[in-house]
Amino acid sequence: MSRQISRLSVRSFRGATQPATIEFEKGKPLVIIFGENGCGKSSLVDAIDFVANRSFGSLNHRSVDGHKHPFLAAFGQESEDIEITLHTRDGGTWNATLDGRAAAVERTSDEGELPIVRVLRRAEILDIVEATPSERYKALGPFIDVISYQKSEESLREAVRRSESSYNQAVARQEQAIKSLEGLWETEGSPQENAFAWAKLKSREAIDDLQDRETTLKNLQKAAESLETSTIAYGKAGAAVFEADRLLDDVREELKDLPKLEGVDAVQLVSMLREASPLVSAEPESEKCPLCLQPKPGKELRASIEERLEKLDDFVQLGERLEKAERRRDVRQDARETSWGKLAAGVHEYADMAEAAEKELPSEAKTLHQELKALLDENTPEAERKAVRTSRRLALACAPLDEKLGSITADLAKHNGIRVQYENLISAKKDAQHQETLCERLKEAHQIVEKTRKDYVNGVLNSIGGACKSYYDQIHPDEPLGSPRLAMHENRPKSVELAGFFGTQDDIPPQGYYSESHLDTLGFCVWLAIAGRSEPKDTVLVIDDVFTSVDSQHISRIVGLISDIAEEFAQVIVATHYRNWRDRYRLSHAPGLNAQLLELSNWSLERGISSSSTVLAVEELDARIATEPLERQAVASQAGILLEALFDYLTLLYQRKLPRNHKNEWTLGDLLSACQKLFGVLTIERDEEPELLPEEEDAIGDGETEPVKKPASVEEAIAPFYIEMGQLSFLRNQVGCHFNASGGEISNDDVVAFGKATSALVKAITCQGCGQIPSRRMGDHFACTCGKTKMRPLEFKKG
Amino acid sequence: MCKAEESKTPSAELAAQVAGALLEAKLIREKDQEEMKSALGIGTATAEDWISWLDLALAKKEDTSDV
Repeated sequence: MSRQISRLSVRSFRGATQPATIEFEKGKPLVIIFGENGCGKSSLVDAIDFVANRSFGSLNHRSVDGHKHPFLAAFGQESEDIEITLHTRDGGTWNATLDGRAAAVERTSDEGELPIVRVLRRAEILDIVEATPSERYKALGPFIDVISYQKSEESLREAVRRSESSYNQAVARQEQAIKSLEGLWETEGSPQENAFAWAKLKSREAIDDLQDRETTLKNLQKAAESLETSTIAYGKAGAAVFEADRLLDDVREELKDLPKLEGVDAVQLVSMLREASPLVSAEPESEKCPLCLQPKPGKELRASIEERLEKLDDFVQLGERLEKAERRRDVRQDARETSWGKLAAGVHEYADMAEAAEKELPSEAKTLHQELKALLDENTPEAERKAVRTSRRLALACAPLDEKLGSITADLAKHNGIRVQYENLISAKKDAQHQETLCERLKEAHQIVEKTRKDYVNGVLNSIGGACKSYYDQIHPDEPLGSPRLAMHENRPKSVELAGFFGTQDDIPPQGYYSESHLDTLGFCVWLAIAGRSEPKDTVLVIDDVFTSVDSQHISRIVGLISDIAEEFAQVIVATHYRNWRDRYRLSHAPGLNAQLLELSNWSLERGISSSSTVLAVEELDARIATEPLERQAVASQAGILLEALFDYLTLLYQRKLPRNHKNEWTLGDLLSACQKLFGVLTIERDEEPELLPEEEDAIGDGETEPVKKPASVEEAIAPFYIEMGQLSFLRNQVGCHFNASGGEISNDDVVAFGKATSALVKAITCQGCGQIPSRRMGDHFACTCGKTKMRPLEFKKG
Repeated sequence: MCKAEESKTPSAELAAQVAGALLEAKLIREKDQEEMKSALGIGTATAEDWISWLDLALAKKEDTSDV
């Protein structure tokens, strides 16, 4: 559904001292609001701007002290009384009031969308033309502002820089690896043709044998160390047993020296008394000894035992020492046996390793090893002592193996060094190649990203500039001043330049060379091109009396341009004080059937803004003819004016000859004579809507697509209409303009016939689709705006 | 949603164009195209993102050529 404005109601706003409502006709995309200066045109434009854009409109361009919102209210009325209601054809309704210092707009309907409203005022027409390049960029920003994209483009540039840095680092690593390899290569006497070839060869050399030898020797070394440790441990364990034996012997000697007590061994006596003591204590009330059953009270017996134990204290302590010494000796003997077991295991382990490393083993070590094995098999204390000594000698005999192992380990380390450096070189080389490719691809991507942006922005500017040029050329055809175009500034990223053509010089700034009227039309064309760029079908253009310095010929072309582009937008509303602008539509010089003509009456405080519809001149004539009683003079006069307008238009279009006079004013007679021969050949061809057969209409009703039918065309000669009107044209002066006796003798029927003949002639030559007399040169004919009517001939030079 | 809300910003329009061009040039993978469009349209693509997108496409190319 269209976002066309269908009704505008204004109360207490600007010139609307009384409530005013404008109804916009359906199906008419162009609205011409004509009114002399001060009738309220700008008030209506401001009201639309207030609702759609929350703008204070023309007040924004005026200098007032303090805030501007107090001046929005109609003279003598309050700000809170302001109310503007805007209805759209798609069912939308918006209500606008002034809330404090700002417009408050409320949607009061469930459906409909507020149109995009672009308003052009006289004060703004040169904004884009005379703006600085950066201001112009700002105005065009919604179409070419790609700042977000440019941020990502800058990130890509950073990615290129990082990639270059990574590439340089990989190259440096590569160079370092080459340098290290060359150092190793030179140390080895520069074998092969170069360090790389040498390193490649070396790093592929088999080192399994070396690694095996290293492992065998390390294992043997480890077993020898373990055997040595076990030998030392066994020696220490033997010494400990010796010490324990000596201490035990000492205690036993002391015991031998002690006297016998009570005929028994003192130590045994102590032991016996200690065992008896708890038995006696358990039964203190007993009257006999529980051991010998001799009669003796338990208490006495117990006291006796304790007394004897006190006397035997030295024997008690010696007994305890003996017990301790015996335990120690047992523990140490166990330890020595364990240690011997370890030593024996170590010898066997060493034997296994020595067998694996037989080639590496010195001959002395081999002999000692055999001796050691034999000693272990003997299993005597003497053999044990010998085994310990032999084991120590074996450790010394194996010492040369350390040197051998050191040499093998060094060979392996060197090999590993070469291999690591070689692999580093290969890795760095690969990395450098990868980074180089990635960097090239990032640069390629950057070129695409940058070029796409420039093409896009220039494409948009060319599109706007192209539309602008097309509009401009339509207003100023074949003039040595034109070809306006827009382009991004080469060095400044947010600047748009406007250039044009003047004489033989291209690329000139229009502000410096164009006349005021050319700048006006250029500004209008740029504005129109920008407005058409974004959602034109949802956009309402409002043009508020912008052309003041443009001459009649150019205004005529502007009218033609606006009539042409009106269909491209949701609606175009033109407010103008040019009566001729309206009359071009009224008199069929422009497509009057496509336009709604509104006229504003003179404004007064009491009446405010008031409007009325203006009908086409031919419709007005028809209405006068039908009015009873007949207004003879009005009909004749109206018909005469209509004929003068028609013939004036045709003589200009066909460049017919007219008698020269000072004021370039001609009578109806002059104009008719000038066109007499032309009307002898003038024809009108009309496209008529194709008629559908009944079955085709039924098919459409069933939902099928309407068949495309080429419109039938009918060609008609205009001469009969001209002749009929021409026979009565004298009536114009006699009835419509002057007082004379003969005029009174003309009947009403003749006056009506003259009016009807005039109406028929005008209608015969006017397109019934758009209401315009064909005037555009197209191939062999003139065409109207909608293209449905053609007028021939294109040229007529006779007479 | 009204038409004005649906309409793309110039950056988003441009992002869609350039993502297509980079894919055509085989500088990015198809599966990264949408992510790229979105990031370019709102200006959040970082240097790391660019390196990652192009590196992945390069790896894909090298894999294919290895085969």
